[in-house]
Amino acid sequence: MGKFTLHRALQMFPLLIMISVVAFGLLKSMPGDPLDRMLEDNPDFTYEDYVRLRAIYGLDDPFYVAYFKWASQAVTGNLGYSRQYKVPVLKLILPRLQNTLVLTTLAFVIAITAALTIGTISAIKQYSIFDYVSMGLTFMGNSLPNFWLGLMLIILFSVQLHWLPPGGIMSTDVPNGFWERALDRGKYLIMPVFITAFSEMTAWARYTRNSLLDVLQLDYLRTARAKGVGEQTVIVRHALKNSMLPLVTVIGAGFTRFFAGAVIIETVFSYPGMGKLMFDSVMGNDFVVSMAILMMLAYLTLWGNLLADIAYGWLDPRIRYD
Amino acid sequence: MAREIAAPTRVLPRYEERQVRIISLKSIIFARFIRNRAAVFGFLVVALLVLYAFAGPLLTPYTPDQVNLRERFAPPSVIMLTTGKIYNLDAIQQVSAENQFRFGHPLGTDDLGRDTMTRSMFGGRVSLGIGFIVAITSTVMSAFLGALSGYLGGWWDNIIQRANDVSHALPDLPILMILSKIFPPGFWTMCLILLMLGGIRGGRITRAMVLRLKKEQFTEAAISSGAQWHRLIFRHFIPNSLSPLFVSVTLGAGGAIRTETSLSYLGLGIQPPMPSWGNMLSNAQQYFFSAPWLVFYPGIFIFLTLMCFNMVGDGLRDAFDPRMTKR
Repeated sequence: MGKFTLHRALQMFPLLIMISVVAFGLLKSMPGDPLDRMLEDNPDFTYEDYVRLRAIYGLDDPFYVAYFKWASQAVTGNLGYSRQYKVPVLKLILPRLQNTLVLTTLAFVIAITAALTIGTISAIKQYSIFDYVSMGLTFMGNSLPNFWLGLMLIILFSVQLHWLPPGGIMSTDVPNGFWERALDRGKYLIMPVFITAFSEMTAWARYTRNSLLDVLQLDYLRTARAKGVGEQTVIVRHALKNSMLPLVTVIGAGFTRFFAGAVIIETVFSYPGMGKLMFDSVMGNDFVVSMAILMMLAYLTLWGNLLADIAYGWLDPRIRYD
Repeated sequence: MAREIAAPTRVLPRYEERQVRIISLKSIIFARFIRNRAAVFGFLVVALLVLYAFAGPLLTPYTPDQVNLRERFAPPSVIMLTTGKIYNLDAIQQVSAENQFRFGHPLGTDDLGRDTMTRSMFGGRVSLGIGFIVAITSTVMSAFLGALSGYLGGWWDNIIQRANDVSHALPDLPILMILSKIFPPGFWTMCLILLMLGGIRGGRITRAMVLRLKKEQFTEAAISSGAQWHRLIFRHFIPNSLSPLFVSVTLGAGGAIRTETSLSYLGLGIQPPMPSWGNMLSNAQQYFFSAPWLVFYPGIFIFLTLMCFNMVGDGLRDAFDPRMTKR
């Protein structure tokens, strides 16, 4: 197992290099660069300055030179300097990465808990009212565009009922204290977390139900019941663990979608995370910031896939990776 | 849902007397699909939406970019007075000789007095059109790449699969945002962008099927009778893995519409004044308080479309492969 994990972790590096080449190539072909903005904003900025700065920033370098310059800096931990925000990229990204991780981790935990609960109950009580209602709702929820759901929730809870703030991350007038702060953050997190969790949960709940139904027919469960194992233990320890296998694959593949979903949810709720920063940096031609975010998201995604593989081996001891 | 059509009779009559009905696979699949009520419902709604988007503009008295500043933010009403201002049932009561009622705005108007219903029809042309075109082209492309990768193996397989890995590791929305900055967005470039990602991403199913089919005897027979690689792929492998492809077209159409509307909502997809269900929402966001219908209706169209495509996709999957049937 340890050997396999190491092997897979090492495999990530060539893939990361390939990803960085593709991402760099794509970003490099985007029209416009930071200097165009300077040229527009500053009337004293002459064409000679423009040419001089282009040479200094290396904007005229051919692709491979620019890539190696970036890569040799990136491996030392220097991800560049944001021309839009006038700060080093790392300083810009880290707080936002934290915000995004808070959002996605909370959503992830909630989505898995809800999916397992709903899926298990509706599999055990197949064809019950709960089953029909929850499966109908998850089917509909699967088809809801999440940004629209966000807008509708804002209309309902912020505009009509005034219960929750429509967007942002914290109030300006909070007393200094951990619990007050946490409560305040929580109020801002409810809607984005709910939507991020909901859009993935719906699919996961359906998977849980279907794979649990497959497992529930198997003979070994009858054996377990026959030798007197309690019903709860049969479901949780015997059936659920085995039925998790297909779900783990789906969750592993869904990792990317979580971060991609963050882009649009963070934009809807103007939540200062990586997704919103990605959007702003693409719109503002802030090349290095987009590049750093893309690489970070790709890295997180690869780790997500790796964790899914490890979980797979843990859930099914028959699977050996050697 | 899908029970077997031709249930064998328990007591078989003598051989000569046996009544044999020959049923083709196609008709079995069709019958299974028809029996799935949700799938038929979804199909009908998609058909209605297509009709609404493509035939609706013949009936509406407005054009999608017809600005009418007198009727800004008119709430949804089927009838209205000629002067505007008064809508729905009140309009009937206040009708007079010089102030007749006429056809109103069933889904309201936006900040420039443009009719939301007419715009949603033209937006539907864009969104549904992109959905169908992208789903079909990207399924064909990914099936071809997958088949090629599975058939050729070796270096080709390695290259195509690594491209696949890379495209899966990159979060789709950010990449699409960058692509839509590179290719200035319009209807066809939007299709191209979505095809670029979708075409590379799919293909794993076809690859797996081809790897299986390669070992079948008919493949050996085809090779020994001199079939070239393209004949094998197009005549043997792809037709044999057709059923998942049909499903992926239907589900892919929903996915493409979802992505297109998300991008257009962010302002990186279809650009105004051309309407799309997505960019109608992005204009509407600032009028939450005064005109909630602007947010509501385009979203309902997206929601209905996605749900019905999912229903049809599930129905097709069940019809093609009864083992996959959900209970």
